[in-house]
Amino acid sequence: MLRLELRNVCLDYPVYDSQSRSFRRSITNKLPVGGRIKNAPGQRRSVLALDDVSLKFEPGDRVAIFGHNGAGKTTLLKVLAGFYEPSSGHIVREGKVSALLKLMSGMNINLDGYENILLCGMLHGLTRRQAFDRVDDIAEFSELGDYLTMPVRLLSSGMILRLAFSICTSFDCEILLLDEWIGAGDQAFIEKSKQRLSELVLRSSIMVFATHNPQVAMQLCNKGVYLEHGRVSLIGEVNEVAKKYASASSAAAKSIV
Amino acid sequence: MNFTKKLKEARSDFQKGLTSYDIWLALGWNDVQGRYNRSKLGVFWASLSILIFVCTLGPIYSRLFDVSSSDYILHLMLGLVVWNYTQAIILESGREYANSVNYIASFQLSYFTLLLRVVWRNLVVMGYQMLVFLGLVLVMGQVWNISWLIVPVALLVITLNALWLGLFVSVLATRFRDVGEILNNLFRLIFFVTPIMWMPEMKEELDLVANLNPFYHLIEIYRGPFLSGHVSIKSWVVSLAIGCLGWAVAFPLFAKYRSRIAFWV
Repeated sequence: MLRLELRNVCLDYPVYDSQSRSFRRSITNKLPVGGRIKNAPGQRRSVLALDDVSLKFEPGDRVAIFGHNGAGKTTLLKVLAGFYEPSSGHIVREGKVSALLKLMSGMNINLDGYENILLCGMLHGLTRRQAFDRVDDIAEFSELGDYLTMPVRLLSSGMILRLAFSICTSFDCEILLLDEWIGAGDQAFIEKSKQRLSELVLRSSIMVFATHNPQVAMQLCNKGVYLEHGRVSLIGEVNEVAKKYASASSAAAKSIV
Repeated sequence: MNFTKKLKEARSDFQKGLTSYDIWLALGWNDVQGRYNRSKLGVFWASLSILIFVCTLGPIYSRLFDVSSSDYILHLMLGLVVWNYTQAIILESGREYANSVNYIASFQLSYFTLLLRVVWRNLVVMGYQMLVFLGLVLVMGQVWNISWLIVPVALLVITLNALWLGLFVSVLATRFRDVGEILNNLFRLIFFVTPIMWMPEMKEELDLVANLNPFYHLIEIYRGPFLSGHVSIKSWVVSLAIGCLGWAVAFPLFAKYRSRIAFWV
């Protein structure tokens, strides 16, 4: 049974390595970015990264998470992935999760392309043998040819991007969590990668995509969630939420000018 | 959340670690390769450096202490191998979570998987160092004896002890970054008070110093059979007792704070 649900989830992110300073505190809470920073006297400083978030995802949902920098998008993905445990509230997660949070996560730049494919395959939950069976497919999609026999650190950043993208989009999962790095690369590869990404999204049952970009979101998603300072301020059709987000960001841009 | 549930989650963290051996075997092996990346000798540098060390220091210190050169070299060699292995697992465990935060976040790797990676990469290095020992044994014409059979079990007990210490340190050193530095200094000190460069038989009053040191017993269950064919019951009892006691402390500690580690890395 596939389930993904957050009930009244709060996440208090403790800050261990900086002292609270009254001067900074007085201005930070008025900035348009970030969650609320709590500075109660005598207590550890913490950021309320998610505040009473309740979301229910059904099979077939392709959800775009909109929000300004530091609104809690990536934190939300990390809670969904099970990395952060909520400070309060509940999370129900049943199903195979794949979290593509960083472009090169799992890759080792000292290994060559083929070895990286094997390694990432195993990290994505395949056995060595299963990963081995996927090598040809991934190698072909990356179009890197003999460059795959070279240590990854010698490749150009564009090539690394191709390889990383080819690798991480080739393993199936039920719950797919995507962070906004997806959709970079040179023009020809972008076209190709769009199709690959949509195929991956189709094979997954639930997809959650953190983004700034309403265009990409409207292509990939059918629902939208708008996060503001760690709170859900709007849930609905992706077009509707994207419009709200776009108008809110342009209003913010105007007010700064 | 109540403690029983936390214990259960820690147990499934361990199970996940034990079953995802494909991952820690690969990661650990890559670590070893990476450490000696692009060098001609590769991992054999681990063998070579310990060979150079014992063959240089051995003849000098054996004369200083007035003991047989070949005995001293083998004693030093085995002591170093076990010490390096144990110490590396403990100290590297303290850095492992912070170094591997991407793995945990992106692939839901369990913490125990990462600790097993640390064990495996040090086991590989230890294997390469033991090649030197076998070479020395052949050259010096030492004879095999039946008590060598207990050595794999001794290695398992040493590993289990290193692992509970590693687990304990991994929680503490990730939360308090000074702990790692304190331990670096502490272990440098312990090295010299542990009978690795010296032998407890050399001075009667040193016997007590050795026997009060748990690391001596851990080394002895491995070194004893090789050197004298002697299996010390006392050292075995101490090692097993410390192992049980240590796990009884480290595991609940890990269970209690496991879900907080993500915020500390």
